[in-house]
Amino acid sequence: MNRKQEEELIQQMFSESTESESSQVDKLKSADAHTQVMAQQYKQMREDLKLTREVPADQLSKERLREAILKAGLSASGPANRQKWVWPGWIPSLTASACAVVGVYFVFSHSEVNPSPTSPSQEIVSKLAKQAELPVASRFADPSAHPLKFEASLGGSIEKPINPAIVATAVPKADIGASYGFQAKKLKSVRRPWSHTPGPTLTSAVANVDVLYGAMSLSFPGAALSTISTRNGDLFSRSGLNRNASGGPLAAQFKAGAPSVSELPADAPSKTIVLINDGSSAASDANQATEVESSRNVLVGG
Amino acid sequence: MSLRERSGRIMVESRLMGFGAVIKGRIDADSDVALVRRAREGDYEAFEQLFERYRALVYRFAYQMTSRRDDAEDVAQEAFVRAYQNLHRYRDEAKFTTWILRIVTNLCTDQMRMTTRRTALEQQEAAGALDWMTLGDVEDPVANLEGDRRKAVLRTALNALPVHHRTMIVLRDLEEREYPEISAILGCTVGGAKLRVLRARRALRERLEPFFGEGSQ
Repeated sequence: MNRKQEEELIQQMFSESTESESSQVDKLKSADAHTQVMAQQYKQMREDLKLTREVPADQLSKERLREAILKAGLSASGPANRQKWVWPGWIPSLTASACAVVGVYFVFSHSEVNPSPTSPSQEIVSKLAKQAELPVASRFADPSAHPLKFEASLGGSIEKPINPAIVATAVPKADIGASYGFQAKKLKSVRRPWSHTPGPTLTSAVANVDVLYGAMSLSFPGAALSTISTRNGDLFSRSGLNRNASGGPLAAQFKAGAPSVSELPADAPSKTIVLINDGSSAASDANQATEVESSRNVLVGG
Repeated sequence: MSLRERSGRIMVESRLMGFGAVIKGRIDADSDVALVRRAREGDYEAFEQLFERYRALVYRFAYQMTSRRDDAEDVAQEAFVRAYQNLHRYRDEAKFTTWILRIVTNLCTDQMRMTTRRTALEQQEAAGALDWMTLGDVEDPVANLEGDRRKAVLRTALNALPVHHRTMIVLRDLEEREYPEISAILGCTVGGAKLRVLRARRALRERLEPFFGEGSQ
C-alpha cells in the first residue's frame, strides 16, 4: 500500500471520500490483508476520538474575565480607549528642519560684513575722534590716501582696508573677555608696543590678532574683518569669514592720552559703556577711560 | 378576487413583512458582528454576551489541546482578553468563532512549546489522579474501565503528537470543523488543510499502533 492509497483509505474511514474513491478502496481491502488491518485501526481510532470529546466543566466566569482584562490593561489597549487620531510623525521632523533652516540663515546673516560706510560704528568713531582731536576713521576710507596705515608693522600685507565697524582700543586682554562675558580661546601673551604715535594705527591691532581672533570666533556682534595677513598666518581663514567681503577693516586705537569721561559733553547719553585704558591720567593718577554708546561697534584690541 | 379581499391580503402581507423585519432586526442586533461593533464602541456588556456565547467552545478546544483543565481555563481566558484588546483588528467579513479559534490556536501552540519540558510522567499522574472526578459512568464499571483505558491511551498519544498535528486532529475530528473554516483559522488553503489532516491522522495511528491489539485480546 502506497501513500496515496493510504490517504484514500483514511478518507473513506472518516467518511470524507467520494463513491468512486470508496469503491477503489474496497477493492484494495478485499485484495490486501494489511489494508484491512489498517482500515480497522483507523476505524477504532475514530471511535476513540469520539470518546475523548467529553471535557470537564470549566470554572470560567464574567468576573474572572473582567479581572483579567483589567489586569492586562484595559485603559491602555482597550477598544473603547483606542485613539482614533493618529499622531502625525512628520511634525517633529518638519519642525527640526525648519529650526535648522532658521539657524543657518541666522548664522550666515550675522556673519556677513557690513559694507555700509555710514554705519553707526563709523558715527561713534567720528564722534569720539572729533572730541579727542584724533584722526577720524573716515579719513581711512581711501586706502591710497594713507598707504602706510595699511602696511602691517610685522611685515604682513593687507589686501583691503579695515572695516570701520571695528575699533581697537587699548584695553588689557584680560578685560576683553570679561567685558563681553566670555573668555577668548587663545589668549597668548602679546607684547604691546607702548610707544604709539598719536592717532589710530594698525600696528597694535595686527599685533593682537590672536585677541581679535579669540573674540571673533565667538561671533562677537559687529565684528567684521575682511582680510588681514599676519605672521601667524591668515587670520580669516581660521575664523571662517568671507575673504572677499566688500569694505575693509579699520583699526583705531586710543592711546593713553585719549579723552576721559569727564571731558565728554554733559549731554552725553546716560547708558554708555566705559572702556578702561591702560594709561593713567597725570592729574588724578587713575586709569583713563573711554565712553562709548554701544558695545556693538567696538572691537577691543591692542 | 374582489378589491376588498385584495386590499385585506395586502394588509396581511405587509404586517407579516413588518414582523419579519422586526425579527430580522433582532437577529441583526444580536449577531456577532453587531456585538463586536458595540463592544468596539465601549459597550462591555456586548463583549460579555460574546463571552457567554462562545466560552464553552473556546474552553473545549483549549482543553483538547492542552489536556489539562487549569491550562485550558487559562488559555480560554487569555484568548478572550486578547480578543477584547484586539477588537479593532477584527474584520467583519470573518466569523467571530473563526477569529477567536485562531487566537486560541496560537495561544495553545505557544503554551505547548513552553510546557514540552514537562515530563510525561507528571502529566500521566496528574491526569490519572483526577480521572475519577470527571470521567466515567457509574452504571457499567467494566465498560468504564475499558473506555477509560482507551481514552487514556488516545489522550497520551494525542499529547505526544507535535502541536501542528494535534491542532488538526482537534479541529477536524474532535471539534468537527469544516475544512474551509479550518483553512481560515490556520491561514492556509482548503486543500492544504485536508492534506494536513491526513498527515495528522496517519501520525496518530502510528502512535497508537502498538496499543490496537490490546483491546481485542
